[in-house]
Amino acid sequence: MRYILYKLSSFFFTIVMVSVIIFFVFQLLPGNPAQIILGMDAEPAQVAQLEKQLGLDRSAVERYLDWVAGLFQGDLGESLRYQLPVRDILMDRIPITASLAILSLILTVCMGLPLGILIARFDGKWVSVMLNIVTQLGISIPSFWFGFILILVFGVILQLFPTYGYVPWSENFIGALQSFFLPSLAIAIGNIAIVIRYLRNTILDQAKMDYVRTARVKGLKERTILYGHILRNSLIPVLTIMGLIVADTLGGSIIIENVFSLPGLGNLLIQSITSRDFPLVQSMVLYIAVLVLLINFIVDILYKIVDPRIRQKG
Amino acid sequence: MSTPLLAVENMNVTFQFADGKYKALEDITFSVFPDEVIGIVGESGCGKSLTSQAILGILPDNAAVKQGKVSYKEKDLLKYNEREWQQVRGKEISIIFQEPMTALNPLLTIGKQISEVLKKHTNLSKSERKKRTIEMMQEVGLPRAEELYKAYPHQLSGGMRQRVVIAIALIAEPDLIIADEPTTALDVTIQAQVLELFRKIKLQRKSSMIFISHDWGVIRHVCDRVLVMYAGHIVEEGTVSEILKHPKHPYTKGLIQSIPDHRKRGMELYTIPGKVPSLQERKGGCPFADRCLERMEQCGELYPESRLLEGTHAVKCHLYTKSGVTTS
Amino acid sequence: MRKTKSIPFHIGVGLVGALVVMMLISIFYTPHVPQAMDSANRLAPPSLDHPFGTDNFGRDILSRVMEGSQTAFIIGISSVVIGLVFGFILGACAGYFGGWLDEIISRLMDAMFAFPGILLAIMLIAVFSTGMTNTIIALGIMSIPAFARITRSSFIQYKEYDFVKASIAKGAGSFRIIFHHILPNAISPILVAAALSFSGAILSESGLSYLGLGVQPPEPSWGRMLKEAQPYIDSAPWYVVITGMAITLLVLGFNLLADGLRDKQDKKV
Repeated sequence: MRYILYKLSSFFFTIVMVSVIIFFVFQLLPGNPAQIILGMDAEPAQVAQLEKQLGLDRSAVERYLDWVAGLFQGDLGESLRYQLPVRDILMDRIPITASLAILSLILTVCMGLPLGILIARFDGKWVSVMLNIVTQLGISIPSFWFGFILILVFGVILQLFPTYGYVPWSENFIGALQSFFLPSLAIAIGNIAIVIRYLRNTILDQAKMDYVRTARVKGLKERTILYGHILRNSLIPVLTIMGLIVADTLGGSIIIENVFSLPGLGNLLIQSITSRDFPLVQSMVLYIAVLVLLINFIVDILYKIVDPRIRQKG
Repeated sequence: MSTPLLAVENMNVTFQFADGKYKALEDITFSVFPDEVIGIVGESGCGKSLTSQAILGILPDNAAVKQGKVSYKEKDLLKYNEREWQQVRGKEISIIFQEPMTALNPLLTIGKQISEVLKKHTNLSKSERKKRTIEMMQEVGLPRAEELYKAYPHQLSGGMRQRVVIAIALIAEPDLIIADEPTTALDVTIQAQVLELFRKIKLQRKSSMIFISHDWGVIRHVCDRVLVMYAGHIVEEGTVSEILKHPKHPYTKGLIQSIPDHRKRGMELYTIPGKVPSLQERKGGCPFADRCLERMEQCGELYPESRLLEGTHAVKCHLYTKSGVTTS
Repeated sequence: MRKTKSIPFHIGVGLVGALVVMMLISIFYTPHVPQAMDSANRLAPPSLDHPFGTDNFGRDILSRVMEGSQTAFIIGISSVVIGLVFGFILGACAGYFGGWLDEIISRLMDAMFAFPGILLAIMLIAVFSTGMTNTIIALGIMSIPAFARITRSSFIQYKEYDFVKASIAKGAGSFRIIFHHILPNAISPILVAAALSFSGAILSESGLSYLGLGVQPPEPSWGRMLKEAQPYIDSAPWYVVITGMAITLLVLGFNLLADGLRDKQDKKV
């Protein structure tokens, strides 16, 4: 319990830090932000009005507190370009990024775990060398380029999947799955490689433990030893890297949405930067960062719950 | 006596290292009869644990039995495949290791870890398995067995964990139990309790036991016969009283001399000079020659044959071979 | 045994070496002028004259890839240097002095880790606008936390060692202790982090440039080449494939290098 409280307080403290960093980075906009947003040939009256809208007539601390107070009430500010509350705009975009991220995580787990186990079972000098090179390749490939390759192979040559845009889940489940599959795989490739490497190494480490010897002298089958004993102990360390992987998935979707023209958060972010819609960019960056912190916090707590050694000490 | 339960004949075990092969066990021959408790003594690195691993087919990956026979109930275990081995382990032969702190899976409950053996080797239903497991836990002296059934290893003390490990070894009622230094890692008072448990097991069960230890006190307490091992060889064997009262091999004499004893209080404790040679350092001749106080010329060249002295007392030492000086 | 295990490391050395050589050659010589357009020869498939084909303006892809490697190395090296210098100073202060300073710096680094992938760089570029210099600064800042963490833990670890304690007791100054005792031991984990940061910077730069937020024309960039190549993915697949392969091989080379270095370092400890 004390641990959870400590984690909770450091979680909130980090959120505050993040919000301060984001806010002040946007204060560093060189020159008059209103002028930059509107361009050099804007009417002075227009500039003055935007200045007021942005609250530039007040001090930075006041504006920060205003922004944070708004956030607590679910008010993320107003987009300049769309003239709409940021929250409403995000609500349209979030389901797409969420679908992409969740499908990508499912792929990471469903491909990473079995492959990691499989490769651990066939451990050997050459297997480990080949594995090392292949997984490093998976980590090294730029995800957006891998997206191109997937488009080329599955979209252009085999014509199995659509290569841009999407179908909403409510309209056609299979169609939606098809449209999200390639981009999710493009994001997942590096994480799959990371999970394979990590899981294999922990399995091989765990296999040397004394409790495995005890299980063996009980007369258990190697399968039972692997799935009933070793795997359980190997998955806990894998859980610790899940926070990292979720963050990476969200980061990856920023680029991939632009490759596959999916109208999610990443796509919106880049558009907003190009159209200098700074209030929108500022709120989105904070939104994504808080999401990452929240997921890391959950993983941290989950990790403690799964392991009985820590659970009971609490 | 009747036919032996376990008969090991001329077993050799070699290790394969990057720089070549090394013999770790040589010419190991001994039998365990039904209802008998055999002790194996010797310093660390003499091959005591390796012998037990060879009997259970759980040698390290780079070690292998190169020669010899291990017969259990007149069947040659070394011809068994992995599937057949699994039928033997836990059910016919079980083993208790030295390290109770790490021997249990930290993420599984005590109950699951004990009853798992029954699941593998019997057709009992789930509730029967649970009932039998709790009985077994009570038998090995675990208090509040019902409660501990759902506990995790980290909630138990070292002594209690060792009782769990013992319960795992006993629950399928194997005919042979190997105990590999089961008390070494425990506190002295807990050691006594666990030893008492072994005496109880010995009295109540018909199982045979191999008891590996470097503690003569432990051996004297529970064993009928003793094998003395040095550098991969059995150098002397006999009944506990034969060995303790009339040790023949200079190594055995040295070991017995170094037993702490209240009568020797105040005197400096004897230790055998030197240390056990590592695998790489072993050469021809008697491996103990370099540390031996009664070394003779042929000791460095020729490995001594086994010589039966009287009853079951046998020794491998040139002092007792025909070429040597026979004294007693 | 040892030989087989170090094969990936040698592949890494080979890849990095080959690409360094290609980069050096490109300074003095490319098969064609990278910017030379040839409207008669647009999107030509690989041939003897153009081994990797031509792009949508008829420019030689091989020459452009070679020229792009200069940008990749400049960005990789400069951002690693920025990250290393600031990360080392922050990490050293946190690890050496500890206390509230450590607490503040560590929380700050935690906060920076909350920006997934290239989000931090995207935010900085959104504010400071695109271009080579800003890309380098953004990627440099992005790699600060990794260096700071490693430096901090090396400092904490070595501060506890007897030989360091002994020289503190002898009254050696902080600078002397850092440069003579702690630094030589911290160097190898920092090298590993540098190799990883380098490959990370290349990956991020290509992503940023692909999004149009990184290096701007006329500076050559592999990421932007991919952006230009995307519409021709079905008519000129080699354009996409070759350019992406250049990025992948350079990143792979540094990753294998880092992995091999870490193995060697683990063996020493």
